[in-house]
Amino acid sequence: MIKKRVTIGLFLLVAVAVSNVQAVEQYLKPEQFLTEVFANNVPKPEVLWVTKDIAKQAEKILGHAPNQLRQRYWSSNGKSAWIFDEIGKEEPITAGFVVSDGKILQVRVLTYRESRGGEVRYPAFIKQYQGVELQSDLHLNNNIDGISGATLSVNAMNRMARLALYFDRMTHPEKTD
Amino acid sequence: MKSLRSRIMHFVRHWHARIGALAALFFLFLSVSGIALNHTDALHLAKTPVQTGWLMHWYGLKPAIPTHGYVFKDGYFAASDEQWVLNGHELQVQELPANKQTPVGAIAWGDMRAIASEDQLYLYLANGQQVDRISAPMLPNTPIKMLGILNSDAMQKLVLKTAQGDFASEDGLAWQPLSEKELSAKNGLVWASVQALPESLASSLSKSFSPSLPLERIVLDLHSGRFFGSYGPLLMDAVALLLMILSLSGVWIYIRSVRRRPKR
Repeated sequence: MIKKRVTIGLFLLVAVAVSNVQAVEQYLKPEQFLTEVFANNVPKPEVLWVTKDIAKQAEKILGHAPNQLRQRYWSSNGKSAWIFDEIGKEEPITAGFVVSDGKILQVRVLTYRESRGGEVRYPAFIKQYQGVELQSDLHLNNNIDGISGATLSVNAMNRMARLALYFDRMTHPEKTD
Repeated sequence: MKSLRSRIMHFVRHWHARIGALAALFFLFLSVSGIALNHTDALHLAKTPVQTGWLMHWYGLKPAIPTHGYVFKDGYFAASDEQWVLNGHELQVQELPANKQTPVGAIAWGDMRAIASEDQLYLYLANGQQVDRISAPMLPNTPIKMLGILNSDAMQKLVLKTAQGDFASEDGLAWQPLSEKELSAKNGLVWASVQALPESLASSLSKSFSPSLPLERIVLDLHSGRFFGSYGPLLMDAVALLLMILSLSGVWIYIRSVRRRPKR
């Protein structure tokens, strides 16, 4: 009997559906975030001027020039709150960061505009930032575990966390090198 | 005389080769464009604008060049539904065009240029660098109806006109209601007003407001065939059909050749 050796090759055709659906989700208004942080005693905003030196370091963190030259923040009882917009893939994510004693105290995603990757708002992800500090090389001292399919949003959150820590450091010039 | 099997084999091989040659260009293009789309971020396809005239015409995009705007001593501000342009610099305005923010005023404020929509106040340097964006909760009231400058005591204050009254600020952060005295200083209070943009700005405006599309969109449309209109996807369907025929005929040829291979 003749042995038949048949090798079957499988061709996988992958159809990539490109969706242009864009979902803008505001989970928390900036004023609600600040009320949450400062318990109904929201201080007046202060201003950090992004000088050339600060902008240079901020650019190292963000990979692009900072969005604006005048950064507002709120500071009281040793903690500072920062609200940033940073693009994940195509649309900006608005997130709030609270820094105290050079460590991240709290993170909240305020508005998410991309169609995919909104999982970065879940407590399971953002609690990883608690207690994280900025190293001298402007990177976080703890590894933040990513989320499958949300890499760019996670990267944007990491950049904003680093920026909050760096800007907070710049508001305490006596502590800087 | 050749057997039927042999003739079928010849026919399949012959057409496998012909279809392969015919479809090769399409396959190469689809492969290259597919790889490019898979690495759109690394290749910055979404951030690479294309303004080529015939291409924009093909897409039916016509330039929407504003004829009116705000003129400063050393520049201008003009806006369309899609873009805001300050002195030839396209401004990065968040939520444009999603919320179609319509500017209600633009005015020179010292080194800065203040631009207001109904619920946002933007501050820029003359080179288009954003200084700050102040949104509704930080503003004294919204909607903003007009934007002005109050010249008093060697200090310029920014003034917002709202339904609840007029408010002035020295820094754009702390706002005070405009006092009667300040309001009566007619010479010192100047409101931003829309003007016809001078002819001398024509070339700058034409360059700034020419339509553009991200390269990613064009590559995606070429890849899917939509670039060629409603028949484009059908063309790509035909190419996909060719790929199926090639796959099946290739497998058939392989099986036949294996069967014919002499035993060792």
